[in-house]
Amino acid sequence: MVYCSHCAKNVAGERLDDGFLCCGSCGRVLEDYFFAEEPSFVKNAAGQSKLSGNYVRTVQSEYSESRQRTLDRAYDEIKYLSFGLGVNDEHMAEQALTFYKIALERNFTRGRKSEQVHAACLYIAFRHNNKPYLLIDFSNYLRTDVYVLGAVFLQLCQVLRLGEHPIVQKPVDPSLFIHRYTKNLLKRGSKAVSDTALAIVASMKRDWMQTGRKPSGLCGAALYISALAHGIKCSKPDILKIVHVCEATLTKRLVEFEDTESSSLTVEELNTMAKEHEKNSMIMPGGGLKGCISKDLLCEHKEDSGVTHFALGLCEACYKDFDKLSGGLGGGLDPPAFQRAERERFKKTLPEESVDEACALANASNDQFKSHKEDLHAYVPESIGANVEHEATKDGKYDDSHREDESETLSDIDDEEVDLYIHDEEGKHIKKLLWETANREYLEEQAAKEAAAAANKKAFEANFENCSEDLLAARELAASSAEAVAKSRKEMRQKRAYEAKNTRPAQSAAEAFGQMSNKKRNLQGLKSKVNFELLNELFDEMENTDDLKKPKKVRFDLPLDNDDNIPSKVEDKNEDEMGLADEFDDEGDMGEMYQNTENMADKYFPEDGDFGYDDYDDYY
Amino acid sequence: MAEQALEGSQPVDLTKHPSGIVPTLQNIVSTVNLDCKLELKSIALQARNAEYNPKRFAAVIMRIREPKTTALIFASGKMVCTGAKSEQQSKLAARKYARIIQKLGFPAKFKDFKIQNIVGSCDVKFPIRLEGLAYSHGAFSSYEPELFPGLIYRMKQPKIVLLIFVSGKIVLTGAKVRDETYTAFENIYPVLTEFRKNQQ
Repeated sequence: MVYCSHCAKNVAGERLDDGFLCCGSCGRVLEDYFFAEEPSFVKNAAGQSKLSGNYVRTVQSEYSESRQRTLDRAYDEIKYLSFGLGVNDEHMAEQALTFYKIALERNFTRGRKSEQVHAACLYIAFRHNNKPYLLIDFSNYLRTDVYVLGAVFLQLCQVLRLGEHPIVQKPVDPSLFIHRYTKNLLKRGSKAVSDTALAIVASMKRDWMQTGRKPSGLCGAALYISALAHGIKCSKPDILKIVHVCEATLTKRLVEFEDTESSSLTVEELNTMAKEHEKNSMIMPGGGLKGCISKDLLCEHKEDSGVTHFALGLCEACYKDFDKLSGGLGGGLDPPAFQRAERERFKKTLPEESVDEACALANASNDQFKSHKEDLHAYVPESIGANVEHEATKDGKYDDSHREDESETLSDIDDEEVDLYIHDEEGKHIKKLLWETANREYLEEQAAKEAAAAANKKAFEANFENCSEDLLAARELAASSAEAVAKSRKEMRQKRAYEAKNTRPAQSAAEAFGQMSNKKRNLQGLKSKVNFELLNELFDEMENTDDLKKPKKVRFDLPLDNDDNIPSKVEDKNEDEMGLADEFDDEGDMGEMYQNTENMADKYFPEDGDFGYDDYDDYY
Repeated sequence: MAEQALEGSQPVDLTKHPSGIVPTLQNIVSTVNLDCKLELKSIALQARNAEYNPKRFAAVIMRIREPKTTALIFASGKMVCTGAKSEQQSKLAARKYARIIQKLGFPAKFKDFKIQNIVGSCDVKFPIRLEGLAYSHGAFSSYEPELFPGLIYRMKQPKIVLLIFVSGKIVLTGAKVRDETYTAFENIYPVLTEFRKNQQ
């Protein structure tokens, strides 16, 4: 529903194809924008899809993401544990999670199994809310030792400082478990059986059977008796399966209950007596006051100003809880453990005469003890160790003061007695054989360790040798590199020498260099040039008329070389009758020389000038 | 045992023990430093009263008959002596062990002898309602009948741990001086009488 200003009322908005929000009645555009409201997912670096966006820290939680994940997992585990035990109340899990948070902050989970910490936290929550579950139930569910779980529980109480807190101060009341065990035994439960069992447990409390006993054993015995009394057929294994105790414990509890007066009562009488005791419990506080000594308040309410002392250091409410839970300080039988102790004391008092004789003997040996310590050890019987202790204590002080002077050396110790404890050679040999046989595995392990150490040492030495081989290779490499360097140096020296040779004329006289180079090149070229030029000029002179004598003279000197060539050719012609073949070959040679002439013409011209000057000087 | 001791030897000093009951010392643990390295195998092979199983425990276990004690002798020269019934007996036993070690050829000394723990026990001879003690002294008590049949009482001053059972037997442990045990028992005795079983 959106408000339309034109219609002046709330109308149903419609979004058409263009995404605008329009009024359904008049068609007025109410919103011209369109925001997506559905959640979108993005992939993170690990490739996992994740909800887009971030949690605002101050709004969501004060914990980091990892810590929150830990707490969420702990909550789930605690909830599964609670539901598995049959408590479908999430408040228990929430309360246990609160304890878990405190334990987590104090690093209690470090080094311990988290499931045990979860169980301990949940057990504290159950204790606080009077849930009828014992550590043995958690132990049975988690399949761990109940004493391991108990140790974690006690340490957790220390960490949470619950020792100062009334949560775990109140012991467990066995009556708490009767209804649950009855339901487990009879499926539907029976109020009559439960009530009778509760009466039996109350009777056990009054007869001091509960104190120092596991609640499960008492509940098992009471439930067994009650079920049989009501005509329900059940065997001991059925009870043992429910309360998780062994048969000997159950039998012992039954025998102890048999010794009490309540065991001879019928069900009706038992219920009647229970009602009477409930009434009488109101009168008990008056009787309890007689034994009171201290007037200080010691219970959990000692810091409350309005609460006053009632009895035994407890306020009225705490005293009533104590009386109900424990059965009070009143009559009934002595506890079974006390009865056993009494019987033992009675047995000890029987041989009074022998005790008197022992005392007399002790006195006699006491006289001897002052003069001869050894005689004291010889005469004193073991049965009166207490006297020996006291005598030793009394005289030991004097001996101790005496021995302190010689405490540094041990010369006062009796050597004869000490020698009894030391083997002779034969004894050493025999014991060595026996010891080595008994500890063969240990000796083999030691030998293996020594062998391993030796192998490690050899491997280390082998590594050292390998290092030396590498050194040799390095040396060879150095030598080869040195040789290479030497070779390169030689080559460089040769190059330098060559360059020196080339650079000296250039540095001294560039012109001379140019002349020398030109001379060398021209000398090579001159041969081919001279031959061709002369031949060409020679042929030109024969065709042309005689105009100038001087040029002819200059050319005359040059033909000396040509004359050498021409006669050889003429001789060849004269000697060989095959003139056509020779002519063909000569023409080829001429062609080649003619081509060379074109390339060499420029070079030849400067030399003609120079040569001309020389001839001119000779002419003059 | 306390009664026999009382009747047999001497009356109890009521100024020191107003309850009339003197705890009996049951066990004393002491330590001493022999101040030399020991070859445990040679000790075990030479001594008749020694056993040494290095795979199980890295110390020689030696016993003597008088005083009847057991000693743990370590390779570092440290020794633990247990089982004595009085401080003087514990020291005498430790000196005997040291002498045996000397006879076996080691230069053993006798340094830093110290009593580490004293365990005492006694019987008050009346039943005690442990639940009441847990109610009124909850800050010091730990009573979990599912885990342990006795009540564990951690006294602050002196720092002693007491195990209190319904039969009236008391165990005191954690003392380093004999008087600490006596003081702790005298402190707890009035509380125990408060929660004793009323006669019919």
